[in-house]
Amino acid sequence: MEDKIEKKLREELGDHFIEYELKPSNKKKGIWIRISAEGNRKAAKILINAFKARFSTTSSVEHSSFIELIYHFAIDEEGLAVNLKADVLKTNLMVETIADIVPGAEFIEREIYDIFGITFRNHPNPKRLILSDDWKEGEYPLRKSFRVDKDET
Amino acid sequence: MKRECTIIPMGPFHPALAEPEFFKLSVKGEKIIDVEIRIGYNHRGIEKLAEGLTYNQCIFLVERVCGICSNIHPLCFAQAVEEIAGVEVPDRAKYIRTVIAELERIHSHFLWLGLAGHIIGFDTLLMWAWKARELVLDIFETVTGNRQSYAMNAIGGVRRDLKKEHISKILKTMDEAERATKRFIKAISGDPVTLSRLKGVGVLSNEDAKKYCVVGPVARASGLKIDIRKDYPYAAYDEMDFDIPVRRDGDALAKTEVRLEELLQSIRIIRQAVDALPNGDIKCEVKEMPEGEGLSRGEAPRGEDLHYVVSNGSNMPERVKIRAPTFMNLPSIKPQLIGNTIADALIIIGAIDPCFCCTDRLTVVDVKENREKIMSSDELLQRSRKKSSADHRGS
Amino acid sequence: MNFYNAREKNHLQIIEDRDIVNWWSLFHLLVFPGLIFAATIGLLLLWLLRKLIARFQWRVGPPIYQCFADFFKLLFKESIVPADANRIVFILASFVSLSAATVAMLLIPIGSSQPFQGFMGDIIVLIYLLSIPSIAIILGGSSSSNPFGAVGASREMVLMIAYEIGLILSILTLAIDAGSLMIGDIVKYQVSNQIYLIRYPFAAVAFFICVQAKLGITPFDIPDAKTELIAGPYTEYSGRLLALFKLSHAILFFGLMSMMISLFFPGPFTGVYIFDVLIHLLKCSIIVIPISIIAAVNPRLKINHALRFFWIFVFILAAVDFARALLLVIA
Repeated sequence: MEDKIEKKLREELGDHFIEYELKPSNKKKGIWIRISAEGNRKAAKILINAFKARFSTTSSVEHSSFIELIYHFAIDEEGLAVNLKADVLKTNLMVETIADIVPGAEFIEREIYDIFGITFRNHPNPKRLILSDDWKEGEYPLRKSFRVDKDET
Repeated sequence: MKRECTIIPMGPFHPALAEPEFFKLSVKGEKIIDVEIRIGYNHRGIEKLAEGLTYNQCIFLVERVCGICSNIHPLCFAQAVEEIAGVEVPDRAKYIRTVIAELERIHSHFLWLGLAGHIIGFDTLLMWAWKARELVLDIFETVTGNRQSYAMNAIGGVRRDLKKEHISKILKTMDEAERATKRFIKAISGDPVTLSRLKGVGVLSNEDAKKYCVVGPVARASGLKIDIRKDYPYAAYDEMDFDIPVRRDGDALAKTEVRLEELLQSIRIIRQAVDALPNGDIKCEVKEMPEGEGLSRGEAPRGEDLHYVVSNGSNMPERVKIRAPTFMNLPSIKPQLIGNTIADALIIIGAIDPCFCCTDRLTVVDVKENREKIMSSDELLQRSRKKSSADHRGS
Repeated sequence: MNFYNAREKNHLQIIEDRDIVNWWSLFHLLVFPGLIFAATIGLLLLWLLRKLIARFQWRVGPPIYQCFADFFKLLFKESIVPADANRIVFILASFVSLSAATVAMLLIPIGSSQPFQGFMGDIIVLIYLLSIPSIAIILGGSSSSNPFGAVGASREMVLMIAYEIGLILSILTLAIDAGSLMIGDIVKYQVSNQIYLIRYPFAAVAFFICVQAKLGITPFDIPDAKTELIAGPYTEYSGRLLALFKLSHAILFFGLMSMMISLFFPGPFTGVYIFDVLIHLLKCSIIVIPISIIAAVNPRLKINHALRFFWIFVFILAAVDFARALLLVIA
């Protein structure tokens, strides 16, 4: 199964496919694929339509010059975890949404906008989810530059 | 005459929802035509806090993500960290983790059953279900010292051993829990009024369930046979023999039936695990934390719980991502609610067994200007300071 | 003091001359069997109901003074009228509800065959008086400008439409059989012949179910369903105004129990009035038992289910006995 997924994604994504790694995860296998951020929609479509993958969530990790998005998918029948990693440069924090392909991704993309400030283009409902509406623009609480103890005076 | 729809605010504070959450229902008569969900009323920033704590402290932090499933979060976190460290947990610890996780499922499902009863106005079911739940909480108190937040998990194993006297108590309680569960199954399936409140209410179709990526009993009630314990076995689940109850109807009744049957399965798993409890250590030492990432899934009572931990080689995690099951189940309420009546709204919300992990704000209606606004955290802080200083002057 | 004689005398006086201010009727209205007596017994019966339900649910339940404590606590609390509410209707609703329930007590016989203020056609007036508290809460709920209040009021309205037919039909059955529209005659007829619980069991069951709906006891606590509508029409009520509603609910509770006794199993009367009243109160307590069992073993019905239930099941029950009564009279 994992070979099939690798082959299919490598073919379809072309230049967007960067790296492939197979690691154990919870006694089962896990696939970790690094793609470019532009290829996220295509990859998600392939996983969902061709491999009946279930979208779990999107994690986001901040690095010095980019924010890494990790799309966690699961192919339950095979017990296979498929994780797509995509880097979004801090100079241009924009990425295409996958919420129109997977409605289940709507909430997490709104959350990532709230806490990391990544804008998801063409998102069906681009509103705040967990922060208040009057939260200061440009302040993202999960960034390393945000200090928790700032206003405890 | 112009027929407008009325807005019924359900939450942020509502007598049937124990946690702050906001559902804005647009209704025509009694029929719901639209719904808007707003979360984050109590966002505690646990993911941010975790970045400033050591791994051992994090275990206690993530335990406080949820008061009901306070075992599955530390369990998933520990597994993710163990995966990074590359250690193998001793067998006895795995079995103990399984027993505690299943006990948690039993207490959570009884709690849900009681709440569902309360929502449909069946308070007797609430009292009886919570009486059964008390038995399980007693076990937790004996085994771990706490009724909730048991602090059983540690990185590399568990913190407390299961003693012989604990095992006989667990087995005895399981007999009682089984009898109680069977009685509930009979009571619910035999009562036409209860059935009429649950049947055909809040149907989540198989397609919608797939679309919204729902997890846990909600998914299984809509015909998706997914269960992390079988699909991605962790702890000692690969050595246990149990079934996954699945229903196809997707209504509140199906969700109830799935949970009731899961209770029986959990009892079955606990009996097996306690019988086959291997000897040995309950914890292994984790000497070093390399750089890396760990992904761990676990089946919480409400569905798939996902923890993703990134390590930078120090004793504190670089990033902890927690995805609680309700985060996936909550958006699926929208297709379930639309077309139903207000009378059914709460049992539909209740049927996904929502466990809200939630920022600081609330909606106030300014009476004079008659407009709605959301108060900011600063305004709230000022208001509470004003209130408390007034109280001081008063006293 | 012999109430029995005083009442008989008083009753005659009223019929002879209604314009004279009668101090006895003021006593009847405010002390016995009106406000104070009915409220006390009503609150005690409500306590009994709560206690029984608690025991079925494996709880200890409230102490005997709980309902009084609740009432007096509310009495000393501030009443807040919402700014958007229709002030007059909002406040008046609670008074109207209480006065209608109190006046109704004068028309219901307690421990005897005669109500305190009986007259020709009093049963029709009684039906109207007993529906006024429901109408008052519909007005109060809709005037409170609260969405839960509005939805609760509309549910109360639907529920009223649902149960009134069964209620009126079962009362009419007895009126036809006794050949009188006076509640006193209905009681006397049963004392000298056979109680209607045996002759018209279906009407009795229909009446019993309708009474539960009128009192809003589970499974018919649909208008003020707390997990759906906070407190329905009562959502914005607080303090004294809410206390008045609680009181009128208690009086209504006792009133409807008394009415059920008078209509379906009155007597036997010992002749000593105080014993007759005690027997009456004992019967009230016995009726609370099936009500508490039904409340404990059932979830709340949905409004559409309740409507269907009343219009089909209860209506058929009441209609069967109504037809029998008609046939008996014609034959």
